[in-house]
Formats: sequence, structure tokens, C-alpha cells
Amino acid sequence: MKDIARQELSIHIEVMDMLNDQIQKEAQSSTAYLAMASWCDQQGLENSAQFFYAQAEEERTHMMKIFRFINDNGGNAMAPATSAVNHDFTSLEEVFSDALAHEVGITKSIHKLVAKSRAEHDYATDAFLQWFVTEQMEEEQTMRRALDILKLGEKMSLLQLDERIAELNTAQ
Amino acid sequence: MNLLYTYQKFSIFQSDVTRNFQVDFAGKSVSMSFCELLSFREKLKRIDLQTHFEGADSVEILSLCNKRHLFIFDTLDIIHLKELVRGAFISMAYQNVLV
Repeated sequence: MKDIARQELSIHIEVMDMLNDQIQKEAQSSTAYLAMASWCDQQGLENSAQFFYAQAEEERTHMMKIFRFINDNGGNAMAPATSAVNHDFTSLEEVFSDALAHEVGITKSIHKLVAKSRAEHDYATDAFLQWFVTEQMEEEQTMRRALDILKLGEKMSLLQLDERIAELNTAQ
Repeated sequence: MNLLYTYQKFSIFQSDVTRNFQVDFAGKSVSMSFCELLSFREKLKRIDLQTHFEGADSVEILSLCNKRHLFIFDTLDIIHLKELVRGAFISMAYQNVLV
């Protein structure tokens, strides 16, 4: 009997399921960052808003990268549905703190995917995911740097802090 | 036509000639490409049986193969179909090891 499944699909089926779950998580992240951008915009924190608009776009790019990878390899990429996200924050620090927690969650999810693809000997997906492993490290570093800026500038006004956030926009 | 897996009143066959899969839904046979089989698997996967047990749903209407077929399945059918597809993909994974 021919191995049609393997000929049609280059990635492991259960890894494909997890990649589809990851697509949903990236889409959810994009929506969450959009809500954060909106909050910052409403507070007049233009640089922070700009930062989160860029983050939202970046998460969508991640999502599309995985989406294309699944379809390019014969799989069935599923367009994600997103659920409601938090729009209420009490401070800019809370926004970045939530963003960091979010990134840590995404990193864990990527690491689980890497572990699964290695367990299933799906080395193509493993290689594909290495970009995400590095990317997640950078994402976490950026969020931590933002929180450091906010902590260091406790005596600064919110607008001054927002100007410091602009440094992150140029660094990205 | 090679039998991949059978469960209760449902079966999945594979044809090496047409490179298609034949799903026997208790008498009605549907030919699917691998892509359509993946899509069928995904549709089954997304059915939350908990809502059936809680009484919210008792039937599922599934349109298969780009709306060429429409099926109405009850809870037991869905349980059996989930098992059928799971078994068929495990069978295909074994092929991967053996070939």
C-alpha cells in the first residue's frame, strides 16, 4: 500500500494540529496588542501606541508565516477565530507587564511545538520553528526592556516615559 | 482499494491508483482527496462532544468535500467517526514507518 499521506503531507499530522493552535494564539496576540495600542492611543501615549500597533502587525506576520508553512507542506491551515481581549488597564506598566506575560506564554507554546516536532522526528518543522525560538527571545527582551524603562523612570511623567518607549520603536 | 480502518458502521479505504480515499458512511460512499480527508478530520476535531452531553446539541450537520455532500450525524455517529478518522491516521502513520 502506498504511503499517500506522507507523499501529500510533509509535516507530522499532530504537529500540524499544534501549528494550527499556534496560528490561533498568534492571532489572539495580535488582537490583544491592538487593544493595548488602542488604550495607549486614548491616553495620548503615541509612542507606546505606535509600539503596540507594530507588535500587532508583527504577530499577524508570525501567524501568516505558520499559515503558509502548513499549506505549503500539504497541510490544512485553519483561519483562526479570536475571542474577546482585555481593553482596560490601570497604567502603562500594567500594559507592558501583560504584554510580557503574553510573550512568555507564546514562548512556552513554541517550545512545546519544538519538543513535539522532535519527538515525532518532524525535523522540517523543527528547523522552521528555530526562527520563532530566536524571535521569541527578542520579543521577551523588548518587553523586559520596556518594563525596565518604566521602573527606572518612576519619577518621570507619563509623557516623558512615552518618549523613552520611542527608543524601542526604533530598535525594533 | 485497501482498507485503512473500520469502526462500527464506518470505514475508510485508500486507493493507490486514484490516490483518493473512500469513506463509507454506513452505506453511502464518499470519495475524498487527502486534502478533503484532512478537512473532514478538522471538522470532526472541532466538534465539542461536551455540548452534546450537556444537551445543547444532539445532531451535527457536516458539509463535506467543498459542499458536495451534506450529512446529519447524531452524537453516537460523531463519537464513532472521530474514532474512525483517528484510527485511519494512525494506520497511515504505520505505513510511513513500514514503507
